[in-house]
Amino acid sequence: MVSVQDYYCAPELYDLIYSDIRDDIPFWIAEAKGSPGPVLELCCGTGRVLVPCLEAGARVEGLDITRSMVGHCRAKLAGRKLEASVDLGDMRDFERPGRYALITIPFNSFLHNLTQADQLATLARCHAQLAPGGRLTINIFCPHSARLAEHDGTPRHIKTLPHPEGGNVRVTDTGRCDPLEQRISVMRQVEVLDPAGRVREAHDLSFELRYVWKPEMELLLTAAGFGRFAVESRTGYTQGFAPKPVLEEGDQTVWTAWQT
Amino acid sequence: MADALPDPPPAGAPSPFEDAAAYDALFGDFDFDRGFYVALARGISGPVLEVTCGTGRILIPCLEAGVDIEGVDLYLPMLERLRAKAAARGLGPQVHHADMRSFALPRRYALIVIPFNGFVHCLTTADQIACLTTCRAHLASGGRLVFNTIPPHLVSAPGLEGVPVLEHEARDPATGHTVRIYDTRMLDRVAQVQHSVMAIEELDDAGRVVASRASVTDMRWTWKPEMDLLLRAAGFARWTLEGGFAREPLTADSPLMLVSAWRD
Repeated sequence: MVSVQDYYCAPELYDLIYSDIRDDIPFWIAEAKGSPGPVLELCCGTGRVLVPCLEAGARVEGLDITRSMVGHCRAKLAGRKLEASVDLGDMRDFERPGRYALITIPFNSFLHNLTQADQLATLARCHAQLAPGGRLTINIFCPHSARLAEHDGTPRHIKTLPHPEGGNVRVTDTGRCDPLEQRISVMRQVEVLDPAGRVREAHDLSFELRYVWKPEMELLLTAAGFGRFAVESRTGYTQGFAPKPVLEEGDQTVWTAWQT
Repeated sequence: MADALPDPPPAGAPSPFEDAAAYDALFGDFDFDRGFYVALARGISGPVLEVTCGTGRILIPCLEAGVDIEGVDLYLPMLERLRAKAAARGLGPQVHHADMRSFALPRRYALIVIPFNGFVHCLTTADQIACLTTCRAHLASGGRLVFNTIPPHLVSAPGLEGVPVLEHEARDPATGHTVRIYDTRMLDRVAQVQHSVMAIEELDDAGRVVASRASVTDMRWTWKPEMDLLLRAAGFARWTLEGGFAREPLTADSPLMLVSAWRD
């Protein structure tokens, strides 16, 4: 019997399996550097986005719900002589002393709100923590009907990446989709392979997402008090994260919602 | 895949709801929802309003059962046919030519119904909220709005596009001819809109097509969490979402979504 870990309790594995996700980082650096005031990144994790933003000279604070991720992120900052406040916090009910000109939720983390009440709580909290004129920027994927249907309980090879110490890391997902509640439950197997292809370690992790349709996101933002918002479409995280003229299913989307 | 797409809709093609005779030939006896709505209306004490009442498939049986019911429809030919059918039965219905997003009537109703997917013709979120808000404003204290919609899985699944699908076939009692309606769909899965090119064919006894009419119509589908947000935005106090006319629980495979929303 293999014990299943919460996905985010394994920060080293997290960094290994997302070492190929880099194309969204310049976008977030530009957002943070262009902000006229303090920036807060929710669900900052191990600092995949936060660390490059700080290295580029932006002032960004971070919050994450998982203690091991926060610890890992702080260690990375210390190792790079970077200073930023990175704290434990839940996007649904965080409380900060200051107000922010920009709050960001990169890389689909908003989809970890698994109920409508959670989604609305997160958006309302963000609205309350924004300074007048401030904005919330969220990146989530636009659902793709055929790809949702692939979450049918059969294992799928997602990717194999080089391991920094030699060999490879192989990621295999077994997903289930509930189209009524719009939830995807994934069992993710991460295998560390030696240069000969033998499995050295195998980890079973689990996570859940609640995907959001475009008209639904508009209703959520309105219900949370945002009077003005816009969405733009972008290519994937390994395809440049480049702006697209037309929003199509499966695209990455960037939602910007203004506090006033 | 481009060659699998249907021809573009003919310029200025009419709505299928402008041909009330063809509509009645196809759907006049359609009864999958009629028992539910007639029983619901009969069980209510107070006036009832049917939005998108069409040719009276549900409204006329309600009148015959003694229900104090009025109707609203966007299409005059439908209302004219409804009035003629009702007059032949000695009935004088109160029906109003108006848009479900903006109708304004003096009475307040104990029950408002939108049967047979009428709500799906609200194509934008703004239209949907306008319709729901208008209905709620016409409910009396304690009143309820009941309507059914298309389950998204039945329209948005891969593989249903670009080929004519026989939607329904019926025998026209007036001519004895067979009438068929084909639907060729294109889907906008981001806007959640189904664009349909409809072909209504009339066949004689020998199976020859003696008449064929093209029309176009669009339908918007709504996901369950989205419906919750729409009802909330329109100000409803509480609601239930069910999966069938026998009050089955709503599941991912339900044949329809039945919405009951209370004003207070």
